[in-house]
Amino acid sequence: MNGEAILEIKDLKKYFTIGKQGILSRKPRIVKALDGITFSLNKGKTFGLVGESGCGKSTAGRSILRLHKITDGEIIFQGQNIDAFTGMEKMQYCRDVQAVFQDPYASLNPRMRVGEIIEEPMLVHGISRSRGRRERVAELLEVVGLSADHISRFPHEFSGGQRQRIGIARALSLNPKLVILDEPVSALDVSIRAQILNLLMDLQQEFGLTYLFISHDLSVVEHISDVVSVMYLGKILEMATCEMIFNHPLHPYTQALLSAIPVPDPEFSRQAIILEGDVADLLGLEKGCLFRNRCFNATDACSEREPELVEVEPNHQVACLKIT
Amino acid sequence: MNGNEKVLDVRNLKTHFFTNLGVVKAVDGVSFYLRKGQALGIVGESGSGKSVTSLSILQLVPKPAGRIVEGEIWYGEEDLVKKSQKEMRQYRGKKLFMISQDPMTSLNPVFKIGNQIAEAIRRRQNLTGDDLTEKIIEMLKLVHIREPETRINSYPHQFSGGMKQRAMISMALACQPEILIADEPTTALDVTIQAQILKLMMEIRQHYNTSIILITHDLGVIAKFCDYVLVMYAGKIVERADVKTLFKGNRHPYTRGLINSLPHLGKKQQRLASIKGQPPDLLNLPKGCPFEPRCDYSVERCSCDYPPIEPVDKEHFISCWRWREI
Amino acid sequence: MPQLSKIWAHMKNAPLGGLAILFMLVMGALFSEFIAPHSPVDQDIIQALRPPFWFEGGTWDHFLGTDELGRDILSRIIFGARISLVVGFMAVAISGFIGTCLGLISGYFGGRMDSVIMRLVDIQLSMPYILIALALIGALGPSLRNIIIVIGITSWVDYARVVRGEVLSIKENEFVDLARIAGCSTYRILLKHIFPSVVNSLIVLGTLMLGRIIIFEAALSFLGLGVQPPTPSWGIMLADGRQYLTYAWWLATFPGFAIMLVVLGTNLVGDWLRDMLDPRQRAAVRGKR
Repeated sequence: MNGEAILEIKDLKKYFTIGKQGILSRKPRIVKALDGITFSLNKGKTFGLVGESGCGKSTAGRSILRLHKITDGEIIFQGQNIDAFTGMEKMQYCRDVQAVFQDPYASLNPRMRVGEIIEEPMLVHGISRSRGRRERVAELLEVVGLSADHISRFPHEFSGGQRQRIGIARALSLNPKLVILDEPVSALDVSIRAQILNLLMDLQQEFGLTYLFISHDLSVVEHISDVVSVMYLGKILEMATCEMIFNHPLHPYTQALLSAIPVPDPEFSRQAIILEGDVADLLGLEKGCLFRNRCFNATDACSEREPELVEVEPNHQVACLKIT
Repeated sequence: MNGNEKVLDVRNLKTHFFTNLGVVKAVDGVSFYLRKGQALGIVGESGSGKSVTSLSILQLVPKPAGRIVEGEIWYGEEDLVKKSQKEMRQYRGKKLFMISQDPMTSLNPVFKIGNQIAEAIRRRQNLTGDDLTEKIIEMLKLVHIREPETRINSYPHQFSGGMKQRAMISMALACQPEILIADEPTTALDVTIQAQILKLMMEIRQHYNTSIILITHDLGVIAKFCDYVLVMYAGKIVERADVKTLFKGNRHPYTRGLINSLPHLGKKQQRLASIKGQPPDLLNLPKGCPFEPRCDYSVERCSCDYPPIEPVDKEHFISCWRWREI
Repeated sequence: MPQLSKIWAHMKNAPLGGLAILFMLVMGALFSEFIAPHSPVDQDIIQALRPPFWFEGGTWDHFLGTDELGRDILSRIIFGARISLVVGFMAVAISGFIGTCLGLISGYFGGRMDSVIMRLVDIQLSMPYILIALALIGALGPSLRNIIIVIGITSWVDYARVVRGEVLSIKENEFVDLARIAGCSTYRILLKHIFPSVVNSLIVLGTLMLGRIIIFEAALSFLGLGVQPPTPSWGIMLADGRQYLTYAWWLATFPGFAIMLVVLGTNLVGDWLRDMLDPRQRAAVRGKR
């Protein structure tokens, strides 16, 4: 996919060990939250990461935000591996990469005033004096559609949508280049969701931001993304431009996912592809395609060989043996 | 619609919460009825009173803060509002069955799934021993749980979210209730699992002619599943209509705003139409129409008086001063 | 931060009895010289072992009677409040500080640090308080300062456990992650983002501990390990009065009653504070929206 890459993820792996080995505890179990994913984000574009719960999409976001140590692979930001950062470079990375999370209630410290919340990143990075920061906070509040009068209020005085706006203002306070949006509208009511999505798109235009948009909601992802990748159990199954994924999905999982979304139109009839089973059914899947036990297209070959992500047409990669 | 018999008739229901900070009118004068075999959808945002409506029907409003202050809920010849908690137990889990968003609130974590389903079966049939086990396995098979023979000995925490919800549905199947109330049954689940659960519920409805009340915030689920819809806002029904009318011929500005604010799959728009403003503060509701501050059509009258429910059509009711012009 | 109207809503449920007891305690301790009718240490053998005024031989002058040396019981109780309060507050402050620091470290960092601190807690809990106190006082010698130190370092455990538990749940909040993403130092995260959220629990726990510490101080003084006579302490009064219990019951009963009242007061206020400050409890009062 053309354009200047701002962030490159190469064969990223993150394994979690569950349960410590002890006298009374069970054997530790390794969960492969991310099992070798590769993608790159283009400057000024939105990269959508979709998948169901437990597919590793949030782990990917948190790895990029350096919230946990990665097991293997590389995260390269503007040509530099973020693992090799020194103290100063880490602080600069904090300025460049910010985040907005799902829960508007847990995202804001309930004991800080709105002004302090938005100001904090600037304070930590020693940006401008107290008065300059206050002015900037007021400006940011206006940018996200709130009023400067809100500066000395507490988060609990705001509704979910307004809180999410405050979170966005805080994320923007350091003029970041990349913003990780982890389910930013999932906890919001339908009528508020549209407001926030519109705001995010306006801000992207205005400040030339790059977004990594993580969500389980395909219709929202379609609305905002330029490139979409579909994840399943720590792997990317399909990655393509937004139009291709939604109009011409190739992977059986993507097809099932799309057909499962209820369309808000009673006259629309479509036979949904009902997938059997659950993501949690992992028994005996050490080898081969991880999706095969739920796949309507699976053959014996699928349990023998693990499919690689292959480019089948320009800007369209799929990991399925039946297609490649 | 299968027949016209009303199985549930709710009249002017008012459920209020008396809190330290004031009275929250969670449900404030709601009237509707449910016909035999009908799938009734209640749609609304958080705080609209849709869940409290369902809890009121089952007399499960959290006490002591919450209380039904007015209204009647007719189930056949009986007014459920007048029933004591003891009498309500004759209805709950037998004639009325509830599936909640979090199945863990209904499943007991210390009993095996099989035993909990057995209890539901025994409310209808007097089975013991192998017959009972067989019946449990049959129930689990009906809801597509794999290896039911071993799964009956599992505890709820060993089930995934979708499996727990399916276990709940198997209990509903065992009870064969007349009315199934599903409060956001798929909200916590992934889309592929949601599709499975909705399909199961449709099967129940077809086989047993069960009436279903489905409460959700997802208009897609409503469009797919329901044949009659109530739209709630701030404790009141603003519009009720059959599902086609609601999506194609809606007259209330809120309903319209809600539908327009959804991104449509396959039709990428530049911007979404959105409803301005913030959800209402239930402790400080405006005097007139609660939607007035967010409404594009509001006139002076809207901020003074609450609009009455008026019939547009035989089955289409609306509460808006200006519906004729919209 | 609760708004004024919300505070008022909770004031209506305030335990007036408990607040009144604590108010009396504080006033008695602060203004003992002005309130007490007599000196707590002046002896007057002629007046010895006078019963309370409503009994035969009692006088209005010695309201609650006198002890075996003719000292006024009421005055000794009022001055004793000062000891109880000083020991209580100082010990709560010391143990609260130690416990909070260890709890914050243990909860936030987890891992080996957590294991070490929690094992320390287990060891502390497995040893009887009295034993530790005996050993420490034996080494340091009995005095007001030493009793505060001893109680302070033996009762930090409860704070450490409560704070650790709170931190474990607070750090799961996304605002803590967002603080790290913004580049906040660990010190800043602990101080600005986590500590303010445990303050409420600390206030509640501190109030409840105050009652326990007052009992503990009385017990130590009773055993002769605490404040030394003639300083009036409720524990010493109990101990001294014990031998006269059969024919001069008021010597031990009134200080015992004072201890009971104060502990009851702190518990009532503590429970009320917990209901008021704990958001989960508050939600239960408010009901579901």
